Amino acid sequence: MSRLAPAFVRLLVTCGALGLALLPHVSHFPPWVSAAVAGAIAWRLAAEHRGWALPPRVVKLAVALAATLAILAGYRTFNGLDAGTALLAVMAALKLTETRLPRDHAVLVFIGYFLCLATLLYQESFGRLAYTLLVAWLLTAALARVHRPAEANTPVRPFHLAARTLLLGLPLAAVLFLFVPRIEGRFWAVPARAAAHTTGISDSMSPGDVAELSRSDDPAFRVWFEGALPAAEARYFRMLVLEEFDGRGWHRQSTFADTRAPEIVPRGPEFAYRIALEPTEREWLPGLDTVTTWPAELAARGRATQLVYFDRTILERRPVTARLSYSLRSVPAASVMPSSLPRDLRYRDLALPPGRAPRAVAYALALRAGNSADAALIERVLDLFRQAPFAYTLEPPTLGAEPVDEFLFGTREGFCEHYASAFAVLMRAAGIPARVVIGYQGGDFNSYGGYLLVRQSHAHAWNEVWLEGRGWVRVDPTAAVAPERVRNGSLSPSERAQAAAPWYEPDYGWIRKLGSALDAARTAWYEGIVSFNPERQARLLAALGLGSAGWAGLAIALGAGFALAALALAGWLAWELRPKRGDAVQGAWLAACARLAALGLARGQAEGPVDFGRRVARLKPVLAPRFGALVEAYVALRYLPGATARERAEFLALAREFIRSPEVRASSG
Amino acid sequence: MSHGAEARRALEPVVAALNSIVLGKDRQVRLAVSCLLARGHLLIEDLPGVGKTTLAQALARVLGLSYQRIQFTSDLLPADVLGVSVYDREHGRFEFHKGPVFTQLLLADEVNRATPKAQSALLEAMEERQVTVDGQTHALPDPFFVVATQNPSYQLGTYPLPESQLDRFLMRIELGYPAAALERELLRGRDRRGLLAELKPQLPASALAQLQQYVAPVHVAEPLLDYVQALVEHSRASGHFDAGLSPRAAIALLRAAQAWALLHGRAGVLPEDVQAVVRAVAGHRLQRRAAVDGSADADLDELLLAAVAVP
Repeated sequence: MSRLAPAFVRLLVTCGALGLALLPHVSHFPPWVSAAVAGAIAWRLAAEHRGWALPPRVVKLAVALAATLAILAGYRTFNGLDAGTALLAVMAALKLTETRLPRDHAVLVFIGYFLCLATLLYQESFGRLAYTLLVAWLLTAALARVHRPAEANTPVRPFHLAARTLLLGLPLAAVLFLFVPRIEGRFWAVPARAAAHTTGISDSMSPGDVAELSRSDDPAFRVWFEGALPAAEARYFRMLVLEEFDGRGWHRQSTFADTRAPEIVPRGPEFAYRIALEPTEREWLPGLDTVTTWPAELAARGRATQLVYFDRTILERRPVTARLSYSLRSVPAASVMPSSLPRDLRYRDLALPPGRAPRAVAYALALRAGNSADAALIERVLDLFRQAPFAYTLEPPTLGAEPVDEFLFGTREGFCEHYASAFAVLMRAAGIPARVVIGYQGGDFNSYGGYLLVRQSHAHAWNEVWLEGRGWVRVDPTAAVAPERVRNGSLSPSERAQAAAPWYEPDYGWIRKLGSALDAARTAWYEGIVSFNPERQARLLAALGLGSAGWAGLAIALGAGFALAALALAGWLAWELRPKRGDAVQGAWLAACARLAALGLARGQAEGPVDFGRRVARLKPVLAPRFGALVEAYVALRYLPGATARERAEFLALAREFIRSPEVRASSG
Repeated sequence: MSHGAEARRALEPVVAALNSIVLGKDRQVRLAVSCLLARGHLLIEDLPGVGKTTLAQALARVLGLSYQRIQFTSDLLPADVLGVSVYDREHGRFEFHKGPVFTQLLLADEVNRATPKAQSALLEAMEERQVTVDGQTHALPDPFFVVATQNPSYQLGTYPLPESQLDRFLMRIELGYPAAALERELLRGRDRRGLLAELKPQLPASALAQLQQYVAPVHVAEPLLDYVQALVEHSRASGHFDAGLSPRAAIALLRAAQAWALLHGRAGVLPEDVQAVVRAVAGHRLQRRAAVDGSADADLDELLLAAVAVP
């Protein structure tokens, strides 16, 4: 095939860049929008190649109207991210059918930039950003290609130029990023989209129903500790307490939120840390057991954190839909409410639905008869779990009508939820206040980023029992069955292999390292760039000695800075492009021309002096004698040989006289 | 008397005599005379019957030049143009019989009807001002001036001249249809060929060579060089043309402008002189880019002259 025509190459590059800009949106477009865009691109390229005629105006108008109505019918609105991007995509497809001139290409490229921006409104991830930058580069290259003559374009020149342009823009982007005043919240109201995130944590738990546990390696949250990390066995992150048992499953006590402050007696070292929580679409926040100091910064920021003190669950008033970062302090070795348990709580945490789990209840009562001490009774139950028939598995059999009985005396296979549920039932039946706690246990330390990465697969359920004189005590029955689950903070490699798909590769060290490095980079991106919020901006300004400037001051300074920069640039350009007045003769001539321009007789830039003289004589005969003489003298000085100093002086005098002459004055009056 | 005044005095009768034959084409006549002054060759491109041949013949007569005409056809051979060596039995050697190219003014009629081979024979002679046959070089007379005519290339049976050969012509002009009033005069008046026969030479034989000497010294000021360079630069950088003007084309533009200034009695070149010749000099050297920018109808004046400021 011979060399492609430059016009075709231009179209190909623009279409390619536009297509890549649209690609991330395809998942939320209706299929017909994607098909229309793909069809328009294919048709336009074929039309260019074959030399087909572009559609007439009437057809374009009709199609545009139909497409607009179709979008309106599909979304019921043009407002919002989904409808807006779909409309933009359809209009880009239509624009393509009339794209011929550089101007049209520019419109397409700018639609592409806008789509890139919309991509980031959907998701601010590191990968998205990298992709968006790539597309922006290609778009800029397409723009560079259409605005340069074909012979100035080698296949790669526009890409070089675009890369250089974007790099030159980098300092400006950095300044804007750091200093444009930031406002809490999204920078414009992006209507909430349907909840897309679902996590392993929900506010109820029915072990018998769920045959599989989340094995997702997605991050749940990351924790930065000031100083040492707590021991692996102490990495229990509480999220939610389930106290209501209906015979099958456990539910959150939602009827009342008790905000009395619990009595907490620290008995060990305190850990200060910060948690960056991935969006959960839920209200509750994880915290290392036992949280002693609440995230005051959230309240200060107006997020109105609600704290349910008695079960020490931390609640947000609204679901967490964006990454959320907060600081806490915890003492893993602490006694909670050691002196007394209020009557209403004791009643709540001993309640069992009548008639349910009869074998478990009978078994617990038998144990109670043999053991007067609570601690000894707990040990007996844990011993039971340690014995051989009980096994830890991620794929337990499903259970029937009495899941607790069936699990304890039948299948004896299950994961943390089965053990936590059964244990709590046994404790309550034996008269020990008990409840189920859901959260995360464990975490992978990322040595590149210096944080503990807690994944969805670290989701865990355990129990808390209230003992006289010791308060609420954490008991993890799963640890009795599968100690490595707790010790390693996650599944053992064999369990991982069992849990994963058959094609799962053995756990190579370097793959894990690479994963850690990537996660650290991603995290640095979030922590450094995405979560650069008003507080951090204020801290930065204070560090630069601009702390007192404030929001408005910053805006004014920035505006003034840009105005000054633009002014300096304009001045420099004006100096570079100034008319090259070689000498006094040219200056006097230009002054005379300027005077005539003021009379409405502007010299065209391509008009020679003699032609101009003739035109002036024709349009304003009154000026003809003087201006004719002036032109003649000017031409002789500028273009003819042998000009003398006297002739120069005469010309300058003539020019001065001309400007002040009565004819000129009269013409302007 | 200055060169300019002398040239003007000598050439005004020439221009007047030509205008009496070719009616209403003062501009083209002056361009043709300027072309001759600048020692360039002239290409006249237009439809048959608008007076191309008449203009060429009138030029030869008025300037008192020897004149030959070659009608280019598709079976024309290079030897038909240049001449041929014939064996002379009496003297026992080859004798070169000069072809029609050995003349002062050569009218190459319908040059694009001949095959490229015959075309290039002529065009090489134009460039070298000499003919080499069988290893022997024969100088062409001085002045040597080729007026070639060609039909628009969309007509049938034409071999368009390649760009490199178009470059050999200093100017290309188009005659176009005469104005209605002049055409009426043409219809009423006498046969042009009869008038041609009556035409007297207006210039002494040696005068043309003398006037040609005066072209190069015509003063070119710095601002004018700026202007020529700006025009050339624009033709290269604007993106309207496939390839910009070459340095040879820039020299040709300047030379033609000097001749035009001389013809009008000036001692120096004005921007207006450049503007007067730019279409004739640059028109056949610039290939318009396939119109992607909607400027299909814009002509050279608009794309080049109007876009470049006179310094």
